[in-house]
Amino acid sequence: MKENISSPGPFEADFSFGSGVTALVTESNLKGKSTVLELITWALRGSPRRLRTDVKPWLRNVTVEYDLNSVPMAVKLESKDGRTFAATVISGGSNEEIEESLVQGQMIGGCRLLARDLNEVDFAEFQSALMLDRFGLQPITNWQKFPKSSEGRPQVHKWPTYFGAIYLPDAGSDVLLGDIAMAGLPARILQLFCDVPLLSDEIRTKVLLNQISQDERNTSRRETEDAEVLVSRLADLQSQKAAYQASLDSIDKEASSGRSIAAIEGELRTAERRYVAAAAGARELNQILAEARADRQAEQRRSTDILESEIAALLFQGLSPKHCPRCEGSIDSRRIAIEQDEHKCAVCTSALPLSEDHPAIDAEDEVEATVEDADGGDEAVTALDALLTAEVAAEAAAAEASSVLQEVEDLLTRLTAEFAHASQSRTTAKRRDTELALARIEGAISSIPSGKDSSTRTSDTTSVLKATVKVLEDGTREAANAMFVELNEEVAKLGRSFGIKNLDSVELNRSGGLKVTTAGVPDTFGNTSGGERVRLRVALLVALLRIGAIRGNGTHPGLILLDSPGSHELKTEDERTLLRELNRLQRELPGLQVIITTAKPDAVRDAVAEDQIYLATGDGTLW
Amino acid sequence: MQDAIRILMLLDAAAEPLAEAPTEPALSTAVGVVRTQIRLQKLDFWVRNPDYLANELLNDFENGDRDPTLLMLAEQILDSEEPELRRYPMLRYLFGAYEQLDDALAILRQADLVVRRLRGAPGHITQHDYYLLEQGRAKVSETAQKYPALDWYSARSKLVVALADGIGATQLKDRQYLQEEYLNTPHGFRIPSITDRARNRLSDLRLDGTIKDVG
Repeated sequence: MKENISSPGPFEADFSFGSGVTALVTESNLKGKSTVLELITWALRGSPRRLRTDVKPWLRNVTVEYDLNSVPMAVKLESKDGRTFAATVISGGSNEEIEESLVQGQMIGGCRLLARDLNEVDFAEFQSALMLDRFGLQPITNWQKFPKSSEGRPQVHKWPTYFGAIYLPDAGSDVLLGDIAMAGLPARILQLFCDVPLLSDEIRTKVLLNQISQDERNTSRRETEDAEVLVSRLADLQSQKAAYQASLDSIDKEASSGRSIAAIEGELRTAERRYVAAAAGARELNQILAEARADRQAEQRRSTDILESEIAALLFQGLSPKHCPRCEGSIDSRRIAIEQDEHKCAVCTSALPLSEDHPAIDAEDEVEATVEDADGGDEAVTALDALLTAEVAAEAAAAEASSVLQEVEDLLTRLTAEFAHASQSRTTAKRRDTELALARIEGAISSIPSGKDSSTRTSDTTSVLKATVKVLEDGTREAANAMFVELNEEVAKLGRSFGIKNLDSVELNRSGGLKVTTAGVPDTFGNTSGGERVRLRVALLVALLRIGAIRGNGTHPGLILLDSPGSHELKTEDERTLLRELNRLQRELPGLQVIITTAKPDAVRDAVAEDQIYLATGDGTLW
Repeated sequence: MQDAIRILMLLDAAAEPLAEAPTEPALSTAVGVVRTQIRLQKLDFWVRNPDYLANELLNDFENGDRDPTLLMLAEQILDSEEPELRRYPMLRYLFGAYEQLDDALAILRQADLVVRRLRGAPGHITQHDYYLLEQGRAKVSETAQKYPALDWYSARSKLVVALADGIGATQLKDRQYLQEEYLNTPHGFRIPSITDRARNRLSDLRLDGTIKDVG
């Protein structure tokens, strides 16, 4: 349903394309010829290339039927709202059965429904997979470098890229084939369409090698960086270790004047045993001393008593009794006389014993003598002296024992202090702390992997891959070179027949470049004129088909879409020559189908079969 | 006989001068008197028990005005062997230390050195008075001159009397009862020594630093 234009309304158009060249001709632009190519492209490639956004909503139902390896295929794109489309893919049966199936909406005869109501994205994926599978092609995986970087990543090119060898670039483009300006890709496409043996393997292996090499480089770089960090850390740790070791040595030096705790403890235990023994000895000797002293004191008391008693006796007995101690009656002179004459006691009248112990005369002298005797009496003095000597001896022994005890006690005190100091001193604590710190650092050092040179290391995998790539390259280069030689000759020949004057030779290389020599002057493809590029591209594809046909291994589908080849520096005469030559090739290449668009009806006249020209003259539209 | 010397010395030290000469002919030569038996016996107790005396000196030191002289005296006793050598234990008798002084007094009496007089009616003696006669005092002088070995009695008697100065006999007895060992001694047993306790007490006082400048 056409909308928003001068002639709106519903429309329906059918186009059929035979072998050889079919031309879609409108005298004006924007009359629908390119849209036809875009719709074919959408159906066959899976996605349109440049379908106009204002035209797409007009479409309700687009059906493209085609043969693939002689199997009828159909793609139906349906839209209800004009913006999003659902795709249905059918294969098999006959052309009639497919058409019938599409009309009825169910499979008729040998038709098979491959997919139904795929959204546009899923359809693109599906079609790509289907075509690669049917043509036996592999996705082209390229190693794409990031701009201004040694890094890159693999990029996978699928069917739409191959389609670049069907729907040729605009004349203005300097890309040889395809939509993507990437070195090497056109050559790859060519070689793959020619089925150069092992080329896919080579490409994949190269990509894999690139990927692995990059990973390894990155890993290696990281390892190098890590190693540098580790080396720096190791140096730091080792300097710390040295500092702690030095500290420990100085602590040991400081502590070496002291003795080990065990030695001190041993001495301490010995001293404790000595102390117990010495204390017991001292106790015993003190007891002996106390006894000796008590004995001496008792003797001293006794001797004092004796002395004093004797003095008292002298003092009081020597007196003449004056009164009776009992009745206090006076002792008169008569009694004194009786005592002297009759030796009877003046007090009690008892007879006095006549003995020296009772001196009546010279009592004073006697007292003095007795006192002297008591004072210096041999027996008493001897006894007291002996006791004193014993006491002094006991005292000396006890003092000695006390002194020994004190000595041992001092030793014990000193050793206890030393022991406490040794086991708790700051030096010991500091040594323990330092040892701990040292152990931690040694642990940290041992946890650092030994510095192996990890720079620019190449793994076995890489080596194998490199060798593999070399083998594959050698193999494919030979095949490709042989193919390229043939291609070059064919392209040159065809180019000349397509009207490129003075074309001496072309030379494809594997990196995708095409060297063009005209009038003896070599130049690059990109420097040739637009018209020449169009013709060289067509020549290249035709050459490809030819060689494929000759070799029997060509996989190019034989469809070429050319959008307005004459719009760009290609004269009408030259365009007609191109079309005529292409149309003539259908005898040699029966499967070749070329669909072109042009705004020049003259270019197709006499060049393309009448029934294969869809012409809209004046301002008319194709549909 | 030792007792007689001690009592004589003590009476000499403790005798108070007589206000007026007694009328009794036997006392015509009296030079002083010691009143009451209890007083005499208590003074005697302190002479015979240097440990109790020292302890009492410490009491006076602590409870009084802390006269350093008291402490010095106590130290002299306790630091010497006096408590061991000069102790003449008494029996506890009824309400206090008591020992019959009669034997010693008889010796002193027969020589006309000391005369005892009793007051009150027979069977109800209220007080003993001990009169020191001239001959007694003369004998003390003679003894001091002739027998220096007995100086100790004289000196100790003077100290004891000085300590008891101004204190009545009953108060002296009360002081004795303050000593726990004395109180607990059963009737008829020897009064125990408190030497160790007194010495420990002195030692404690010294450790306190209270008396470091003393002695």
